[in-house]
Amino acid sequence: MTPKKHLTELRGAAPEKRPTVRVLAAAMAHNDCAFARLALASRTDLDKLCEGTYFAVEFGQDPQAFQRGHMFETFVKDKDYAMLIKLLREHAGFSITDVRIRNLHSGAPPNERGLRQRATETRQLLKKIVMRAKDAPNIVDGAVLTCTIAGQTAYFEADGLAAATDGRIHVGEVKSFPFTDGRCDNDKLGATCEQAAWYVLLVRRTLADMGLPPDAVSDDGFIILPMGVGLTPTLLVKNLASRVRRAEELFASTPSGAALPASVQNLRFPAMDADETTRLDTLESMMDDVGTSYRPDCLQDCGMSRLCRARAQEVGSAALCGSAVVRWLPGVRTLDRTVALAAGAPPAPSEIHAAHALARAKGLFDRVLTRGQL
Amino acid sequence: MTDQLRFTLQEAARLASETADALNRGDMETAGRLQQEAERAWQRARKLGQQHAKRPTLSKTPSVRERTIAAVTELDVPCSPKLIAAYCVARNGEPFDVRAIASIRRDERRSWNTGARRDTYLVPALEGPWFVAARGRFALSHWPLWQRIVGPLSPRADHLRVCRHLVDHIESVGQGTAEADRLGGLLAEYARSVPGALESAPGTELKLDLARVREAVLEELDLLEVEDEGQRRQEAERAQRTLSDTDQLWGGAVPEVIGHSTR
Amino acid sequence: MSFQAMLAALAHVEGRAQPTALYRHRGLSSDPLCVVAWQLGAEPYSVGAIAIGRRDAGFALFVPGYPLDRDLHFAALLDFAKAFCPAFEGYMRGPCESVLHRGEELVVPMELPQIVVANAGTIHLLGRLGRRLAYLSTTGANAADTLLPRLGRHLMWIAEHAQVPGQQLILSATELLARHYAAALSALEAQSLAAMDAWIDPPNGAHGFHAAEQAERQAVGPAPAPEEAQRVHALMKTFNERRAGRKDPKIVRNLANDLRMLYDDMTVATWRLIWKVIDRERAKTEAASVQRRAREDRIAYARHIQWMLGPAEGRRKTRLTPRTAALRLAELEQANRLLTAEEAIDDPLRMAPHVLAGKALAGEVIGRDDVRRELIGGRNCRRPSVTLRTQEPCLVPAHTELWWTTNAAGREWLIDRVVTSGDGSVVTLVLQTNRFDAEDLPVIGSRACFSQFNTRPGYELILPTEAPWTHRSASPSTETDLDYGDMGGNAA
Repeated sequence: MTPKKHLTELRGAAPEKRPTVRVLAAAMAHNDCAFARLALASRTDLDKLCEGTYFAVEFGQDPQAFQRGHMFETFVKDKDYAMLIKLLREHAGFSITDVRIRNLHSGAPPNERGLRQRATETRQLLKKIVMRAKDAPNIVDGAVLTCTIAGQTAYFEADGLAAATDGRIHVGEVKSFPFTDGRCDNDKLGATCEQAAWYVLLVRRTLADMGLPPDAVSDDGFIILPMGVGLTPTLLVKNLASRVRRAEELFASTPSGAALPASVQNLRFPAMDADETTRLDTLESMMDDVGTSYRPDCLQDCGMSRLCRARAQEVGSAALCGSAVVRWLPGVRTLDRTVALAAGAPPAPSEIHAAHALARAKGLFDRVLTRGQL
Repeated sequence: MTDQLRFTLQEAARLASETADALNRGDMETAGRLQQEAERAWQRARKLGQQHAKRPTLSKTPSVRERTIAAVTELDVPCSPKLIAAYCVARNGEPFDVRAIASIRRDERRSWNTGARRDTYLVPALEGPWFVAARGRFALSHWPLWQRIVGPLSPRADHLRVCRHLVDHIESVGQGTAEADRLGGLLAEYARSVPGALESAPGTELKLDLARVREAVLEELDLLEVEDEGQRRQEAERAQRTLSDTDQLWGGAVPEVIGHSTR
Repeated sequence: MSFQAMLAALAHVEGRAQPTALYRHRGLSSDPLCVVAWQLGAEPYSVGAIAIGRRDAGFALFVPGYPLDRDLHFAALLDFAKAFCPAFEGYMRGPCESVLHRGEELVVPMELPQIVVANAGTIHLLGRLGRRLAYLSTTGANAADTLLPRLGRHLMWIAEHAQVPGQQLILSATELLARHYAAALSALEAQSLAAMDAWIDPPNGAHGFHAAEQAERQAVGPAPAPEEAQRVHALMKTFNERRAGRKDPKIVRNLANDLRMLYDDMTVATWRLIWKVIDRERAKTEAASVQRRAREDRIAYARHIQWMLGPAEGRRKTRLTPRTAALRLAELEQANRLLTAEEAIDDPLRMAPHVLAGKALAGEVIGRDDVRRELIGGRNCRRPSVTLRTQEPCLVPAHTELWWTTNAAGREWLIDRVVTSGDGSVVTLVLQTNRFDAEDLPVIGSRACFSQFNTRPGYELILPTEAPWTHRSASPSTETDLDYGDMGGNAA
């Protein structure tokens, strides 16, 4: 079986995840988890695999939130990107004739074939832009970029836009959290810049594949947000250089897995119509085989997180408490061992450093609780 | 109502034949009286028939297809369903269900496939390197190929052409009419992104100055028009070389791409 | 902080959260207000429903029906304001004291005007609501009732005051628990009030983790649970269809009944949880310095009310100038310094991590020399000393300045000598003044604690009125009415 067929087999009848840049960014944030890497490579959607079980994770976006986001994005793109053109002219220094548009969503079927078609045309357009061709677009919507995942060419749809002028490409993201009094929610802005940085990285890699200069993609990304209560849009210019560097490091550190490990070749993600017990059993045995790497922020990103968390709790992994606690317990494997060391158990060589501090801490704690003073 | 008409006509016919009988008998007095009654019955029937005819029948109002084609004809550029619907509503105030356009699209292709040839068909605009059918943009089959092709500048240039047409049309129907007001609202939305077209002091009502709008629209269109048409004509030549006649109307096929090389 | 790590591990093994403090370090007034708010999807400036009340009297719930309609939204907020403003402003009419603050007399209520909410998310939502309301125009085309900007200005100020470390004017129940307990929980998960409560008090002898696993599915607000959000969405759709554009309050109230019942159920669950938590924490003894910080809250409140009654009617700038920003930052840093110091001084469990980190020491007083003299600059000055025996080795470097916790506002002590003794140390400390009374030194045989924390007032920050050229920025824009002040566009 070809590796590609392997991956399709691996996914089996489990739901498929539409590969977008956002999905890649989220997966890369967890690239230390072999299970997550497997899901990315096989394009398996983990969001709902635990549905109906004790460990179900509800990712459903509030329909109201979806509506607001959709409404704002539609407003910005309405009438052939009229508002976007206005913003680019007013806030990003685009000239009045920088109005060439290519919407790659239009005319491409929403399937794998359509993705490849769009990827082909994306490359043509990128070349035109970098070579400053006369008919090079200034706005590209729905680009599709490629990169190598698990030794295979994977296609990723851009959720954002690309805006180009004079041979320079800027990535743009449209979001619906508000920008008021010169400020906005910093966490949400950070997450948006993160997605934009991955888009920058993918476009640069695509350019490099084609032998074109990657720095044609600017470090400055455009973030389009509504102002105040209404939907009047504004455009922020944000420098993404450090985020792109981090993304590049993450990408480089991902185990390339040109060939899938032999152990994986007999695995298959469970189908949704399997009953809860079977699904959980299959998932758990896959986790035992492949390995996972639970962290508390998995809870926001992955449909397996509750199951993973429960497994972490069974073994008493310190990751349950977050990275800060893990850093304070170097060489100590579990929370149970932590308490044993604190109670005075003889430490193993790797545990000596932590054991001493833990014993002191426990001693003080007990003393204060019994005596009411230090 | 038709019962009454039928009854009246039968009455009139009965009276007419009785008049004839009376004449045959030579009874002039009765014949005269009966004839007058028959006349009155005919008049009643005619009146009823006229009233009946005055009520609008389905065949008299334009169909969705007719309205769509009329709109695209007037706008004279490839249009999105949203624009078609908004324009139709603004023109005559009658509601327009934008979803109907999707079924028109399917029906047009079907009708073409049967071999029947109407005056014109609603066809998709063509775009991209393979001239595929654009999603959500419609042209008319009798237009020259270059006008049905969408180039990179075309969305913006056509947007400006629509603004220009709206300005012209509002002036022709006369400002202050209901239609002009509706069209004015549509124009305000469209001209919002044209620099210098709309101006309002913050907090005050937006006032539409047609002359200013036209000037601003033409100023921007001027920068794009020649290049846009040039590109479209050039692409049309290429399409004629590479596409079949049917594909030149309905869109080309997408080549099957095997894969891309990556590092 | 290995102390924190140790407690988290202990919580995991014992199945219950561990206390991180012996005392309660936030004040609780006798009958605080409580506000529960529900947001609508990702709408930042609207509420799906909002409730206010006191523990025994119960809450009043206000449901706009369709918050994206400005008229319906403001109608509900106006009703809320009619309940909130008299309650919040009413403290000035209760017993008050006169305080000399920054050179002027200020009338300050004796009772803390406290509002309890479920979590920080609720405070942020109230702040955004405040921003939307605070600059509404009350005249002209889109005039809003004057009570709305007044409510908005209160809410904006409250959300701003929430940032002061150690304040308890707007008390987040979740933060109260997070600061007093440690569990085997990440910071993210600890934001769920239900989960923290389950760890502290797991029902039926269950392990805290399993109790929290189930409890965390309860949404406490402002975001509803996904299922509830779907139901809200569906009911709101029906409401709008039946309403068909009408805005008459009676019709709206009638048609919104299903929506109201859903929000009522959601609010009751949150309400009960909040009071369960507050009642339990109230039973703990209050730390000694809470009253001082509560007094600062009362003074801030009085100044806010004074500003509301002033010529600007409570209007404030939306953006700080460089000077006000520097002053504000200094205030917050000072408050934080005092908070950390006071909590450690008041509470041995709070001091423990500092002992482990080498910032404090504690032990039995085994020697005291009131008449000790030291040669300083040619003079033989009185410098009393105290000798402690500690049970653990003293990690504080010699010559470090320390303060005795019982007299944290007094003069500092210097470590003179540290000698190892068995498992611990014998430490001699010298008071750095010749002016002292007998009470300024610990009694022999008692336990004493010396730490780097003191409660002396910090330096006052004196800044010039004009910012220097390095700190000048473009002039900040004036406050705009979010609904109509910006360049038109569709207002929600």
